[in-house]
Amino acid sequence: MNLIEQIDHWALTAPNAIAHISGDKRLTYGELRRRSDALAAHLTERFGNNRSPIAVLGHREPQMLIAFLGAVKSGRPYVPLDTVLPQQRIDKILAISRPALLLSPEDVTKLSSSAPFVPATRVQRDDPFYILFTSGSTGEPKGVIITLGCLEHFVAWMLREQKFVPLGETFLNTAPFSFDLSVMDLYCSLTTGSTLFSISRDLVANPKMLYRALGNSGSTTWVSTPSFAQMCLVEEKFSEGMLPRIRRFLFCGETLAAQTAARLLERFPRAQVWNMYGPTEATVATTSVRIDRSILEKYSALPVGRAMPGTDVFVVNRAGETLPANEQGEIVIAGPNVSLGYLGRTDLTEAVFFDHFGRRAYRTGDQGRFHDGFLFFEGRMDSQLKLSGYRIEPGDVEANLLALPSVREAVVTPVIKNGAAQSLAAFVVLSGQTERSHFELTQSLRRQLAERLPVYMLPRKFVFRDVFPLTANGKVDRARLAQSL
Amino acid sequence: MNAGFHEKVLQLVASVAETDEVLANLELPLYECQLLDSIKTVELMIRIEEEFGLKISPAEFERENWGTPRRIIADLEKRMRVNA
Repeated sequence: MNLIEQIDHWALTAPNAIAHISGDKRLTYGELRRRSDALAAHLTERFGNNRSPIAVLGHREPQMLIAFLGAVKSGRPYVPLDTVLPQQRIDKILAISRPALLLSPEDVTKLSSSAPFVPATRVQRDDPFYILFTSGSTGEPKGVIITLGCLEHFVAWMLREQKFVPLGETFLNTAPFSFDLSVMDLYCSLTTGSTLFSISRDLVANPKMLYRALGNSGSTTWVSTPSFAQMCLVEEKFSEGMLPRIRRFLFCGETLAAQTAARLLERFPRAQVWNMYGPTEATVATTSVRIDRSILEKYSALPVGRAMPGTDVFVVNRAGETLPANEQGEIVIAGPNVSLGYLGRTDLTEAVFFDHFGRRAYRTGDQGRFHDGFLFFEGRMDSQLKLSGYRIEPGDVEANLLALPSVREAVVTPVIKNGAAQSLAAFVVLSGQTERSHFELTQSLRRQLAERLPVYMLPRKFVFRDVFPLTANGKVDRARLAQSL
Repeated sequence: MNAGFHEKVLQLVASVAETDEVLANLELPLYECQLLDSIKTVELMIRIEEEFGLKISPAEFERENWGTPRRIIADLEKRMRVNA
Protein backbone atom coordinates (compact mmCIF):
# COMPACT_ATOMS: atom_id res chain seq x y z
CA MET A 1 0.00 0.00 0.00
CA ASN A 2 1.30 3.46 -0.78
CA LEU A 3 0.75 6.36 1.59
CA ILE A 4 -2.55 7.46 0.02
CA GLU A 5 -3.91 3.89 0.18
CA GLN A 6 -2.75 3.60 3.79
CA ILE A 7 -4.87 6.64 4.67
CA ASP A 8 -7.86 5.45 2.64
CA HIS A 9 -7.65 2.04 4.29
CA TRP A 10 -8.88 3.56 7.58
CA ALA A 11 -12.09 4.64 5.84
CA LEU A 12 -12.86 0.96 5.33
CA THR A 13 -11.77 -0.43 8.69
CA ALA A 14 -12.72 2.51 10.91
CA PRO A 15 -14.93 4.93 8.93
CA ASN A 16 -16.22 6.69 12.04
CA ALA A 17 -12.79 7.23 13.60
CA ILE A 18 -12.00 10.93 13.90
CA ALA A 19 -9.23 12.03 11.53
CA HIS A 20 -9.15 15.72 12.43
CA ILE A 21 -10.39 18.05 15.16
CA SER A 22 -10.09 21.80 14.66
CA GLY A 23 -12.12 23.97 17.06
CA ASP A 24 -15.65 22.58 16.98
CA LYS A 25 -15.15 20.90 13.59
CA ARG A 26 -14.66 17.14 13.24
CA LEU A 27 -13.76 15.04 10.22
CA THR A 28 -14.06 11.25 10.11
CA TYR A 29 -11.92 8.92 8.00
CA GLY A 30 -15.05 7.89 6.07
CA GLU A 31 -15.81 11.48 5.19
CA LEU A 32 -12.17 12.29 4.40
CA ARG A 33 -12.04 9.48 1.83
CA ARG A 34 -15.48 10.15 0.32
CA ARG A 35 -14.92 13.87 -0.03
CA SER A 36 -11.30 13.68 -1.24
CA ASP A 37 -12.36 11.13 -3.88
CA ALA A 38 -15.16 13.42 -4.98
CA LEU A 39 -12.84 16.43 -5.15
CA ALA A 40 -10.25 14.40 -7.10
CA ALA A 41 -12.97 13.39 -9.56
CA HIS A 42 -13.95 17.02 -9.99
CA LEU A 43 -10.33 18.13 -10.55
CA THR A 44 -9.73 15.34 -13.07
CA GLU A 45 -12.86 16.22 -14.99
CA ARG A 46 -12.15 19.94 -14.92
CA PHE A 47 -8.43 20.03 -15.67
CA GLY A 48 -7.79 16.78 -17.57
CA ASN A 49 -4.08 16.33 -18.24
CA ASN A 50 -3.09 19.69 -16.75
CA ARG A 51 -1.00 18.65 -13.74
CA SER A 52 -0.51 22.15 -12.34
CA PRO A 53 -0.64 22.26 -8.55
CA ILE A 54 -3.73 22.96 -6.48
CA ALA A 55 -3.24 25.78 -3.97
CA VAL A 56 -5.15 25.43 -0.70
CA LEU A 57 -5.69 28.52 1.44
CA GLY A 58 -7.10 28.22 4.96
CA HIS A 59 -6.28 27.96 8.62
CA ARG A 60 -6.29 24.35 9.86
CA GLU A 61 -9.83 23.59 8.69
CA PRO A 62 -10.67 19.91 8.06
CA GLN A 63 -11.42 20.90 4.45
CA MET A 64 -7.69 21.53 3.98
CA LEU A 65 -6.99 17.81 4.56
CA ILE A 66 -9.71 16.93 2.04
CA ALA A 67 -8.12 19.34 -0.45
CA PHE A 68 -4.59 17.96 0.05
CA LEU A 69 -5.73 14.38 -0.53
CA GLY A 70 -8.13 15.36 -3.31
CA ALA A 71 -5.28 17.07 -5.18
CA VAL A 72 -2.84 14.14 -4.94
CA LYS A 73 -5.56 11.61 -5.77
CA SER A 74 -6.10 13.56 -8.99
CA GLY A 75 -2.37 13.41 -9.77
CA ARG A 76 -1.59 17.00 -8.76
CA PRO A 77 0.62 18.31 -5.96
CA TYR A 78 -0.82 20.79 -3.50
CA VAL A 79 0.56 24.10 -2.25
CA PRO A 80 -0.54 24.69 1.36
CA LEU A 81 -1.13 28.35 2.26
CA ASP A 82 -2.19 29.69 5.63
CA THR A 83 -4.41 32.74 6.04
CA VAL A 84 -1.85 34.15 8.51
CA LEU A 85 0.24 35.00 5.42
CA PRO A 86 -0.30 38.51 4.06
CA GLN A 87 -1.98 38.82 0.66
CA GLN A 88 1.17 40.06 -1.11
CA ARG A 89 3.12 37.00 0.05
CA ILE A 90 0.29 34.74 -1.07
CA ASP A 91 0.23 36.53 -4.45
CA LYS A 92 3.98 35.95 -4.88
CA ILE A 93 3.60 32.25 -4.09
CA LEU A 94 0.69 31.94 -6.51
CA ALA A 95 2.70 33.73 -9.22
CA ILE A 96 5.55 31.22 -8.79
CA SER A 97 3.47 28.05 -8.39
CA ARG A 98 0.85 28.98 -11.05
CA PRO A 99 -1.82 26.66 -9.64
CA ALA A 100 -4.71 25.32 -11.71
CA LEU A 101 -6.99 26.35 -8.87
CA LEU A 102 -6.92 28.12 -5.50
CA LEU A 103 -9.25 26.40 -3.04
CA SER A 104 -10.76 27.91 0.12
CA PRO A 105 -12.43 25.67 2.74
CA GLU A 106 -15.83 26.78 1.38
CA ASP A 107 -14.81 25.77 -2.17
CA VAL A 108 -13.75 22.37 -0.88
CA THR A 109 -17.11 21.84 0.82
CA LYS A 110 -18.92 22.67 -2.43
CA LEU A 111 -16.67 20.69 -4.77
CA SER A 112 -16.43 17.55 -2.63
CA SER A 113 -20.11 16.79 -2.23
CA SER A 114 -20.72 15.04 -5.56
CA ALA A 115 -20.90 11.25 -5.94
CA PRO A 116 -17.43 9.80 -5.41
CA PHE A 117 -15.48 7.64 -7.80
CA VAL A 118 -11.89 6.49 -7.53
CA PRO A 119 -9.73 8.44 -9.98
CA ALA A 120 -7.02 6.52 -11.79
CA THR A 121 -4.44 9.30 -12.08
CA ARG A 122 -3.05 9.45 -8.55
CA VAL A 123 0.32 10.95 -7.72
CA GLN A 124 3.03 8.34 -8.28
CA ARG A 125 6.16 7.78 -6.23
CA ASP A 126 8.39 10.18 -8.21
CA ASP A 127 5.69 12.82 -8.71
CA PRO A 128 5.51 16.01 -6.67
CA PHE A 129 3.17 15.51 -3.67
CA TYR A 130 3.36 18.96 -2.13
CA ILE A 131 5.23 22.20 -2.76
CA LEU A 132 6.11 24.13 0.34
CA PHE A 133 7.31 27.71 0.24
CA THR A 134 10.11 29.00 2.41
CA SER A 135 11.99 32.30 2.74
CA GLY A 136 14.35 33.11 -0.14
CA SER A 137 17.32 35.46 0.23
CA THR A 138 16.27 37.83 -2.58
CA GLY A 139 12.74 38.51 -1.32
CA GLU A 140 11.17 35.80 -3.51
CA PRO A 141 9.88 32.74 -1.62
CA LYS A 142 11.30 29.37 -2.75
CA GLY A 143 8.99 26.43 -3.48
CA VAL A 144 10.48 23.15 -2.24
CA ILE A 145 9.11 20.19 -4.24
CA ILE A 146 8.53 17.06 -2.15
CA THR A 147 7.56 13.84 -3.96
CA LEU A 148 5.34 11.03 -2.72
CA GLY A 149 8.53 8.93 -2.46
CA CYS A 150 10.20 11.53 -0.19
CA LEU A 151 7.18 11.65 2.08
CA GLU A 152 6.78 7.86 2.20
CA HIS A 153 10.44 7.42 3.17
CA PHE A 154 10.02 9.93 6.00
CA VAL A 155 6.69 8.58 7.30
CA ALA A 156 7.81 4.93 7.14
CA TRP A 157 10.83 5.81 9.28
CA MET A 158 8.71 7.69 11.82
CA LEU A 159 6.24 4.80 12.09
CA ARG A 160 9.05 2.25 12.61
CA GLU A 161 10.92 4.35 15.14
CA GLN A 162 8.01 5.71 17.18
CA LYS A 163 5.79 2.61 17.10
CA PHE A 164 2.57 4.65 17.09
CA VAL A 165 -0.48 2.65 18.16
CA PRO A 166 -2.85 2.31 15.16
CA LEU A 167 -6.17 4.06 15.89
CA GLY A 168 -4.79 4.89 19.33
CA GLU A 169 -2.94 8.17 18.98
CA THR A 170 -3.89 11.83 19.10
CA PHE A 171 -1.30 14.08 17.49
CA LEU A 172 -1.04 17.70 18.51
CA ASN A 173 -0.85 19.98 15.47
CA THR A 174 0.70 23.31 16.46
CA ALA A 175 2.25 24.40 13.15
CA PRO A 176 0.27 25.84 10.22
CA PHE A 177 0.02 23.48 7.23
CA SER A 178 2.22 25.92 5.27
CA PHE A 179 5.11 25.06 7.62
CA ASP A 180 6.78 21.68 7.07
CA LEU A 181 6.76 20.66 10.74
CA SER A 182 3.00 20.07 10.29
CA VAL A 183 3.77 17.35 7.74
CA MET A 184 5.06 15.23 10.64
CA ASP A 185 1.87 15.32 12.70
CA LEU A 186 -0.46 15.33 9.69
CA TYR A 187 0.84 12.24 7.89
CA CYS A 188 1.96 10.22 10.93
CA SER A 189 -1.57 10.75 12.21
CA LEU A 190 -3.45 9.93 9.00
CA THR A 191 -1.42 6.83 8.14
CA THR A 192 -2.02 5.35 11.61
CA GLY A 193 -5.76 6.06 11.71
CA SER A 194 -5.15 8.51 14.53
CA THR A 195 -6.67 11.89 15.36
CA LEU A 196 -4.98 15.16 14.48
CA PHE A 197 -5.84 17.88 17.01
CA SER A 198 -5.16 21.36 15.63
CA ILE A 199 -4.37 24.35 17.81
CA SER A 200 -5.53 27.50 16.02
CA ARG A 201 -3.78 30.88 16.14
CA ASP A 202 -6.60 32.29 18.33
CA LEU A 203 -5.74 29.72 20.98
CA VAL A 204 -2.02 30.47 20.83
CA ALA A 205 -2.79 34.17 21.30
CA ASN A 206 -4.82 33.48 24.44
CA PRO A 207 -2.85 31.47 27.02
CA LYS A 208 -5.92 30.70 29.16
CA MET A 209 -7.74 29.15 26.17
CA LEU A 210 -4.56 27.44 24.99
CA TYR A 211 -4.05 25.47 28.22
CA ARG A 212 -7.73 24.57 28.31
CA ALA A 213 -7.50 23.25 24.73
CA LEU A 214 -4.32 21.32 25.50
CA GLY A 215 -6.02 19.75 28.51
CA ASN A 216 -9.03 18.75 26.40
CA SER A 217 -6.99 17.48 23.46
CA GLY A 218 -6.24 14.01 24.86
CA SER A 219 -2.91 14.23 23.01
CA THR A 220 -0.57 11.25 23.06
CA THR A 221 2.01 12.74 20.69
CA TRP A 222 3.22 16.29 20.96
CA VAL A 223 4.74 17.80 17.82
CA SER A 224 6.03 21.37 18.05
CA THR A 225 9.06 23.59 17.92
CA PRO A 226 10.98 23.72 21.20
CA SER A 227 9.94 27.40 21.62
CA PHE A 228 6.29 26.44 21.85
CA ALA A 229 6.92 23.85 24.58
CA GLN A 230 9.22 26.30 26.38
CA MET A 231 6.38 28.81 26.45
CA CYS A 232 3.94 26.19 27.77
CA LEU A 233 6.36 25.15 30.54
CA VAL A 234 6.05 28.57 32.21
CA GLU A 235 2.69 27.34 33.51
CA GLU A 236 3.29 25.02 36.46
CA LYS A 237 0.12 23.07 35.75
CA PHE A 238 1.56 22.10 32.37
CA SER A 239 2.38 18.56 33.45
CA GLU A 240 1.09 15.00 33.37
CA GLY A 241 -2.03 16.18 35.22
CA MET A 242 -2.97 18.41 32.27
CA LEU A 243 -1.95 15.93 29.56
CA PRO A 244 -2.31 12.47 31.17
CA ARG A 245 -2.15 10.51 27.90
CA ILE A 246 1.01 12.10 26.52
CA ARG A 247 3.65 9.52 25.57
CA ARG A 248 6.14 11.44 23.48
CA PHE A 249 7.32 14.94 22.63
CA LEU A 250 8.74 15.27 19.13
CA PHE A 251 10.77 18.40 18.48
CA CYS A 252 12.09 19.75 15.23
CA GLY A 253 12.71 23.08 13.54
CA GLU A 254 15.16 24.66 15.95
CA THR A 255 17.64 23.92 18.73
CA LEU A 256 16.23 22.04 21.70
CA ALA A 257 17.75 23.39 24.91
CA ALA A 258 18.84 20.75 27.45
CA GLN A 259 16.92 22.64 30.14
CA THR A 260 13.66 22.36 28.18
CA ALA A 261 14.13 18.61 27.72
CA ALA A 262 15.02 18.16 31.41
CA ARG A 263 11.95 20.06 32.59
CA LEU A 264 9.68 18.06 30.30
CA LEU A 265 11.07 14.77 31.62
CA GLU A 266 10.44 15.98 35.18
CA ARG A 267 6.88 17.12 34.49
CA PHE A 268 6.00 14.16 32.25
CA PRO A 269 7.89 11.21 33.75
CA ARG A 270 6.15 8.64 31.52
CA ALA A 271 6.79 10.48 28.25
CA GLN A 272 9.76 10.32 25.90
CA VAL A 273 11.46 13.41 24.51
CA TRP A 274 12.90 13.26 20.97
CA ASN A 275 15.13 15.78 19.26
CA MET A 276 15.03 15.78 15.46
CA TYR A 277 16.78 17.70 12.71
CA GLY A 278 16.31 18.28 9.02
CA PRO A 279 15.67 20.99 6.44
CA THR A 280 12.41 21.33 4.45
CA GLU A 281 14.45 20.21 1.40
CA ALA A 282 14.86 16.75 2.97
CA THR A 283 11.22 16.32 4.10
CA VAL A 284 10.76 17.59 7.66
CA ALA A 285 13.40 15.59 9.57
CA THR A 286 16.32 13.33 8.74
CA THR A 287 17.97 12.60 12.09
CA SER A 288 16.59 11.82 15.53
CA VAL A 289 17.63 10.92 19.04
CA ARG A 290 15.71 10.15 22.19
CA ILE A 291 16.80 12.56 24.91
CA ASP A 292 16.95 10.64 28.17
CA ARG A 293 18.75 11.22 31.47
CA SER A 294 22.02 9.74 30.22
CA ILE A 295 22.12 12.07 27.19
CA LEU A 296 21.28 15.04 29.41
CA GLU A 297 24.08 14.16 31.83
CA LYS A 298 26.61 13.78 29.03
CA TYR A 299 25.91 16.75 26.74
CA SER A 300 25.17 20.37 27.56
CA ALA A 301 24.41 21.09 23.88
CA LEU A 302 22.10 18.29 22.78
CA PRO A 303 22.82 16.11 19.74
CA VAL A 304 20.27 15.99 16.91
CA GLY A 305 20.80 12.27 16.50
CA ARG A 306 21.48 9.68 13.88
CA ALA A 307 20.29 9.54 10.26
CA MET A 308 17.15 7.67 9.29
CA PRO A 309 17.93 4.26 7.74
CA GLY A 310 18.36 4.45 3.98
CA THR A 311 19.64 8.04 4.08
CA ASP A 312 23.22 9.20 4.52
CA VAL A 313 24.14 12.27 6.50
CA PHE A 314 27.73 13.44 6.36
CA VAL A 315 29.83 16.50 7.01
CA VAL A 316 32.03 17.99 4.29
CA ASN A 317 34.70 20.68 4.01
CA ARG A 318 34.66 23.52 1.46
CA ALA A 319 36.13 21.20 -1.20
CA GLY A 320 33.22 18.79 -0.67
CA GLU A 321 35.41 16.12 0.98
CA THR A 322 33.85 14.09 3.77
CA LEU A 323 35.28 15.01 7.16
CA PRO A 324 36.06 12.58 9.98
CA ALA A 325 34.22 12.66 13.32
CA ASN A 326 34.72 15.72 15.53
CA GLU A 327 35.54 18.03 12.62
CA GLN A 328 33.12 20.81 11.82
CA GLY A 329 31.83 21.28 8.29
CA GLU A 330 28.70 21.57 6.17
CA ILE A 331 25.96 18.98 6.73
CA VAL A 332 24.98 17.08 3.58
CA ILE A 333 21.98 14.77 3.23
CA ALA A 334 21.72 12.08 0.51
CA GLY A 335 18.77 9.75 0.13
CA PRO A 336 15.20 9.19 -1.03
CA ASN A 337 13.85 11.94 1.24
CA VAL A 338 15.76 14.68 -0.63
CA SER A 339 13.56 17.09 -2.62
CA LEU A 340 13.48 17.43 -6.42
CA GLY A 341 14.56 21.04 -5.90
CA TYR A 342 13.00 24.49 -6.07
CA LEU A 343 10.00 25.06 -8.32
CA GLY A 344 10.98 26.95 -11.47
CA ARG A 345 14.44 27.78 -10.10
CA THR A 346 16.98 25.54 -11.84
CA ASP A 347 19.72 27.99 -10.84
CA LEU A 348 19.01 27.70 -7.12
CA THR A 349 18.43 23.94 -7.41
CA GLU A 350 21.73 23.30 -9.17
CA ALA A 351 23.59 25.35 -6.58
CA VAL A 352 22.68 23.06 -3.66
CA PHE A 353 21.31 19.75 -5.01
CA PHE A 354 23.61 17.20 -6.64
CA ASP A 355 24.04 13.55 -7.45
CA HIS A 356 25.94 11.55 -4.85
CA PHE A 357 26.74 8.04 -6.15
CA GLY A 358 23.36 7.80 -7.83
CA ARG A 359 21.38 9.31 -4.95
CA ARG A 360 19.92 12.76 -4.70
CA ALA A 361 21.88 14.91 -2.26
CA TYR A 362 21.39 18.34 -0.68
CA ARG A 363 23.97 20.69 0.79
CA THR A 364 22.10 22.14 3.76
CA GLY A 365 24.18 25.24 4.48
CA ASP A 366 24.02 24.07 8.12
CA GLN A 367 27.23 23.58 10.10
CA GLY A 368 27.74 20.59 12.28
CA ARG A 369 29.92 17.69 13.32
CA PHE A 370 29.67 14.05 14.31
CA HIS A 371 30.66 13.15 17.84
CA ASP A 372 30.05 9.83 19.62
CA GLY A 373 28.13 8.75 16.50
CA PHE A 374 25.65 11.62 16.88
CA LEU A 375 25.23 14.61 14.63
CA PHE A 376 25.46 17.99 16.38
CA PHE A 377 23.97 21.04 14.68
CA GLU A 378 26.19 24.10 15.12
CA GLY A 379 24.52 26.98 13.27
CA ARG A 380 24.43 28.28 9.72
CA MET A 381 27.17 28.94 7.21
CA ASP A 382 25.22 31.94 5.85
CA SER A 383 22.95 34.55 7.41
CA GLN A 384 19.79 32.38 7.38
CA LEU A 385 18.22 32.09 10.83
CA LYS A 386 15.35 30.47 12.66
CA LEU A 387 12.85 32.29 14.85
CA SER A 388 10.33 30.08 16.66
CA GLY A 389 11.26 27.38 14.14
CA TYR A 390 10.52 29.55 11.11
CA ARG A 391 13.31 29.82 8.58
CA ILE A 392 14.13 33.41 7.67
CA GLU A 393 16.56 34.88 5.18
CA PRO A 394 17.44 38.42 6.36
CA GLY A 395 17.85 39.29 2.66
CA ASP A 396 14.17 38.48 2.14
CA VAL A 397 13.16 41.02 4.81
CA GLU A 398 15.65 43.59 3.44
CA ALA A 399 14.31 43.23 -0.12
CA ASN A 400 10.76 43.78 1.13
CA LEU A 401 11.82 46.80 3.20
CA LEU A 402 13.60 48.29 0.19
CA ALA A 403 10.39 47.92 -1.81
CA LEU A 404 8.75 50.49 0.50
CA PRO A 405 8.97 54.04 -0.95
CA SER A 406 10.11 55.60 2.33
CA VAL A 407 13.13 53.28 2.69
CA ARG A 408 16.39 54.04 0.88
CA GLU A 409 18.70 51.50 2.53
CA ALA A 410 18.01 48.59 4.85
CA VAL A 411 20.03 46.02 6.77
CA VAL A 412 18.36 43.30 8.85
CA THR A 413 20.20 41.42 11.56
CA PRO A 414 19.18 39.04 14.34
CA VAL A 415 19.01 40.24 17.93
CA ILE A 416 21.03 37.70 19.89
CA LYS A 417 20.20 36.97 23.54
CA ASN A 418 21.80 34.15 25.53
CA GLY A 419 23.57 32.98 22.37
CA ALA A 420 20.39 32.54 20.33
CA ALA A 421 18.50 34.71 17.84
CA GLN A 422 15.45 36.14 19.64
CA SER A 423 14.06 38.60 17.10
CA LEU A 424 15.04 40.74 14.12
CA ALA A 425 16.32 44.30 14.06
CA ALA A 426 16.16 46.50 10.99
CA PHE A 427 18.58 49.34 10.36
CA VAL A 428 17.01 51.83 7.99
CA VAL A 429 18.09 54.91 6.07
CA LEU A 430 14.96 56.80 5.06
CA SER A 431 14.43 58.30 1.60
CA GLY A 432 13.61 61.75 2.93
CA GLN A 433 13.24 63.96 5.98
CA THR A 434 10.40 63.33 8.40
CA GLU A 435 8.85 65.00 11.41
CA ARG A 436 7.56 61.72 12.80
CA SER A 437 8.94 60.16 15.99
CA HIS A 438 10.97 56.96 15.83
CA PHE A 439 8.09 55.08 17.38
CA GLU A 440 5.61 56.36 14.78
CA LEU A 441 8.06 55.50 12.00
CA THR A 442 8.58 52.02 13.46
CA GLN A 443 4.86 51.39 13.66
CA SER A 444 4.34 52.68 10.14
CA LEU A 445 7.12 50.53 8.63
CA ARG A 446 5.93 47.44 10.52
CA ARG A 447 2.39 48.03 9.26
CA GLN A 448 3.56 48.37 5.66
CA LEU A 449 5.86 45.38 5.94
CA ALA A 450 3.05 43.30 7.46
CA GLU A 451 1.22 43.65 4.13
CA ARG A 452 4.14 41.89 2.45
CA LEU A 453 5.60 39.46 5.00
CA PRO A 454 4.28 37.03 7.62
CA VAL A 455 4.34 38.26 11.24
CA TYR A 456 7.28 36.05 12.22
CA MET A 457 9.45 37.87 9.63
CA LEU A 458 8.72 41.38 10.92
CA PRO A 459 11.62 43.12 12.71
CA ARG A 460 10.69 44.06 16.29
CA LYS A 461 13.25 46.83 16.52
CA PHE A 462 13.92 49.57 13.96
CA VAL A 463 17.02 51.73 14.17
CA PHE A 464 17.10 54.83 11.98
CA ARG A 465 20.41 56.13 10.61
CA ASP A 466 21.37 58.99 8.33
CA VAL A 467 24.05 56.82 6.66
CA PHE A 468 25.38 53.30 7.17
CA PRO A 469 28.98 52.70 8.24
CA LEU A 470 31.15 51.22 5.47
CA THR A 471 33.93 48.64 5.51
CA ALA A 472 37.33 49.30 3.92
CA ASN A 473 35.92 47.75 0.71
CA GLY A 474 33.11 50.26 0.62
CA LYS A 475 30.39 47.76 1.59
CA VAL A 476 27.87 48.33 4.37
CA ASP A 477 29.54 47.27 7.62
CA ARG A 478 26.88 44.82 8.82
CA ALA A 479 28.98 43.57 11.71
CA ARG A 480 29.35 47.10 13.11
CA LEU A 481 25.63 47.71 12.79
CA ALA A 482 24.85 44.44 14.58
CA GLN A 483 27.31 45.29 17.36
CA SER A 484 25.58 48.62 17.92
CA LEU A 485 22.36 46.93 19.06
CA MET B 1 2.26 51.31 45.61
CA ASN B 2 5.04 53.81 45.14
CA ALA B 3 6.42 55.50 42.06
CA GLY B 4 9.47 53.24 42.22
CA PHE B 5 7.26 50.21 41.64
CA HIS B 6 5.54 51.87 38.66
CA GLU B 7 8.91 52.82 37.23
CA LYS B 8 10.28 49.28 37.59
CA VAL B 9 7.21 47.74 35.94
CA LEU B 10 7.43 50.17 33.04
CA GLN B 11 11.14 49.45 32.61
CA LEU B 12 10.38 45.72 32.43
CA VAL B 13 7.58 46.22 29.91
CA ALA B 14 9.80 48.55 27.83
CA SER B 15 12.60 46.01 27.87
CA VAL B 16 10.36 43.08 26.83
CA ALA B 17 8.41 45.13 24.25
CA GLU B 18 11.71 46.59 23.01
CA THR B 19 10.49 50.19 22.90
CA ASP B 20 10.82 53.18 25.21
CA GLU B 21 7.46 54.42 23.95
CA VAL B 22 6.03 52.38 26.84
CA LEU B 23 7.58 54.90 29.28
CA ALA B 24 6.03 57.87 27.50
CA ASN B 25 2.57 56.55 26.66
CA LEU B 26 0.74 54.63 29.38
CA GLU B 27 -2.25 54.05 27.08
CA LEU B 28 -0.20 52.36 24.37
CA PRO B 29 -2.24 49.38 23.04
CA LEU B 30 0.47 46.75 23.51
CA TYR B 31 -1.18 43.82 21.73
CA GLU B 32 -2.72 45.87 18.92
CA CYS B 33 0.68 47.44 18.20
CA GLN B 34 2.14 43.88 18.30
CA LEU B 35 4.57 44.96 21.00
CA LEU B 36 3.37 42.01 23.09
CA ASP B 37 2.37 38.58 21.81
CA SER B 38 2.06 35.22 23.59
CA ILE B 39 5.79 34.58 23.79
CA LYS B 40 6.52 38.15 24.91
CA THR B 41 3.72 37.93 27.50
CA VAL B 42 5.25 34.80 28.96
CA GLU B 43 8.69 36.46 28.91
CA LEU B 44 7.22 39.40 30.83
CA MET B 45 5.69 37.01 33.39
CA ILE B 46 9.11 35.46 33.98
CA ARG B 47 10.77 38.86 34.35
CA ILE B 48 8.07 39.98 36.82
CA GLU B 49 8.58 36.86 38.91
CA GLU B 50 12.35 37.44 38.93
CA GLU B 51 11.95 41.12 39.87
CA PHE B 52 9.05 41.05 42.35
CA GLY B 53 8.74 37.37 43.28
CA LEU B 54 5.20 37.51 41.92
CA LYS B 55 4.12 34.31 40.19
CA ILE B 56 1.49 34.71 37.46
CA SER B 57 -0.20 31.62 36.08
CA PRO B 58 -0.51 31.81 32.26
CA ALA B 59 -3.47 29.41 32.46
CA GLU B 60 -5.39 31.97 34.53
CA PHE B 61 -4.17 35.03 32.66
CA GLU B 62 -6.60 37.45 30.96
CA ARG B 63 -4.92 39.30 28.11
CA GLU B 64 -7.27 42.27 28.44
CA ASN B 65 -5.77 43.01 31.87
CA TRP B 66 -2.41 43.71 30.23
CA GLY B 67 -3.69 45.67 27.23
CA THR B 68 -1.77 48.87 28.07
CA PRO B 69 1.18 49.79 30.35
CA ARG B 70 -1.32 51.42 32.75
CA ARG B 71 -3.42 48.26 32.96
CA ILE B 72 -0.33 46.12 33.60
CA ILE B 73 0.62 48.37 36.54
CA ALA B 74 -2.94 48.21 37.93
CA ASP B 75 -3.09 44.41 37.54
CA LEU B 76 0.27 43.89 39.23
CA GLU B 77 -0.64 46.25 42.08
CA LYS B 78 -3.80 44.22 42.66
CA ARG B 79 -1.86 40.97 42.65
CA MET B 80 0.77 42.38 45.04
CA ARG B 81 -1.98 43.47 47.47
CA VAL B 82 -3.58 40.00 47.37
CA ASN B 83 -0.19 38.38 47.95
CA ALA B 84 0.80 40.79 50.74
